[in-house]
Amino acid sequence: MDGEPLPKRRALNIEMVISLGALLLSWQVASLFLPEYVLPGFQLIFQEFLKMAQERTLFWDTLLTLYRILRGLITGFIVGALFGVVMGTVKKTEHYLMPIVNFIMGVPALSWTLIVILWFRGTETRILVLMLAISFPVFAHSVLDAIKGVSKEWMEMTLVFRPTRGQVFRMLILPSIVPHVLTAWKVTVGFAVRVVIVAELVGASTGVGFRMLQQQSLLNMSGVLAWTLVLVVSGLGMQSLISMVESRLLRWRPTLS
Amino acid sequence: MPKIECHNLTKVFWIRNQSFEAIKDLNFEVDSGELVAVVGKTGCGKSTTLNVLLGLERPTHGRLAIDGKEPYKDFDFFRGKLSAVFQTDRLLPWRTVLQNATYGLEILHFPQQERVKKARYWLEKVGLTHFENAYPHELSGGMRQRVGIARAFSIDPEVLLCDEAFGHLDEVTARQLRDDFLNLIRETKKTSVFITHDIDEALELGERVLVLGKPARLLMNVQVPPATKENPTKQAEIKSRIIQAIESDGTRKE
Repeated sequence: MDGEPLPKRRALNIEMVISLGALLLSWQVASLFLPEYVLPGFQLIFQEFLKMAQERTLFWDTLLTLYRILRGLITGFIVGALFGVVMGTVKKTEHYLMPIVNFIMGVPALSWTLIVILWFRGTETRILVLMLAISFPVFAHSVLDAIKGVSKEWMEMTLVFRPTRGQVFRMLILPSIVPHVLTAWKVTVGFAVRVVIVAELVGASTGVGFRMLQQQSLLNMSGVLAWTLVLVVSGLGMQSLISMVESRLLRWRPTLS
Repeated sequence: MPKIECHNLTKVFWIRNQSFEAIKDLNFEVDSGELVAVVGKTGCGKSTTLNVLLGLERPTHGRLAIDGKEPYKDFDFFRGKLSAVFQTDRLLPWRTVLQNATYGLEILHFPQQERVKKARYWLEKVGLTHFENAYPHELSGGMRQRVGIARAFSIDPEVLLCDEAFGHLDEVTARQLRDDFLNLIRETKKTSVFITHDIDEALELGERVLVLGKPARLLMNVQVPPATKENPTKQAEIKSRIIQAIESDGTRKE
């Protein structure tokens, strides 16, 4: 019996090419009628890229910003996961720790930026503390929720074999919370890119944020846009990296397709 | 001495300041190597009884002991001694069939090679040799329950407890699985308690059937010798007695 053929997976997403193509085309056409400092054409933005590459800022500043994001998020994840695990596994600790986590989470990222500038010396310390403050509550919440969501049925099945606490954590809780943790990473990465740029704008002399500020003070719109593109691409790159890790770690999950 | 002794077992739950009796003065015994079926209406406290047997619930009053020890109080004494097959398969979705079958053995610190060997043996017994690398979502409900059975047998427990293990499967699959399961029990001579709401299933599986009322307490204790299993008239007669006992328990309360 012949079944309906499965839809083939396309190598290129045509809809995406059309929508992005239309956007870029309208940009280019509009640039012909508007001044350079409002809407520069692609050739100008491309020239800016070449200049950034020649001056080596494209590589080093991008790398530095990415490093700051990654270092901050890893630190935030370690602290947040620790909070989440303690709250999720030690009785009543949630009542004590959650108000602190929520208070820190309630402080706006911009306020944190100003606070760390006043509290700490040295760009790297400031950015690290800032990234920690904005990311760890998110990780703490997601790890706690994930632990609370571990199936009671799986827990009972496991307890019948009389595992140690360590085994319960390693063999049941840890694998159960992986999907939630990866979702938290995806959400936080996008947020972290925005926050680190603000931090570099306000309090750094290196990094993409600082370069953008430089270009803005020179009224160089092409430069601002070139660096913005770097950010967009970096953000998307990190998102797809997490997606790759996700599909590797969660290959056991049934897919709707 | 009986393997399992349950003496005046009572379990009371508190739900929003209201007490609710799930088990009330339940008494029964199970001998070593015996297969006992426990039957009762849905919600009569059968699963709570199973949870007390597994040491997952603390009895409110009375005593339930296996080999003289209480599963809840002497929790760690039962390491490697108990296994359970639940109503739903309770397979871990991130583990393959083989990894699910080795789960208990891994907890009991069996060396890698030995646990794979044991798990493969039991997977073969339940007819899943060619599926060891599949993930649970790739299997049918019956196959998943078979993995659950392999996982339970793999640690070679002293007591095997089953809670409506085939209740959610279609009749044909359930029948096949029940036969295979019974063969494994007979082969390994495990002390088993099989909880079900299906009287036919209880009579087919159990050497003895305990009939529970609501809240869980003993209404009847029926011996089911092999000759009875092959005699439909006799079986129907026992079934109607069990139904009568359960119904009159319900009427008495109402």
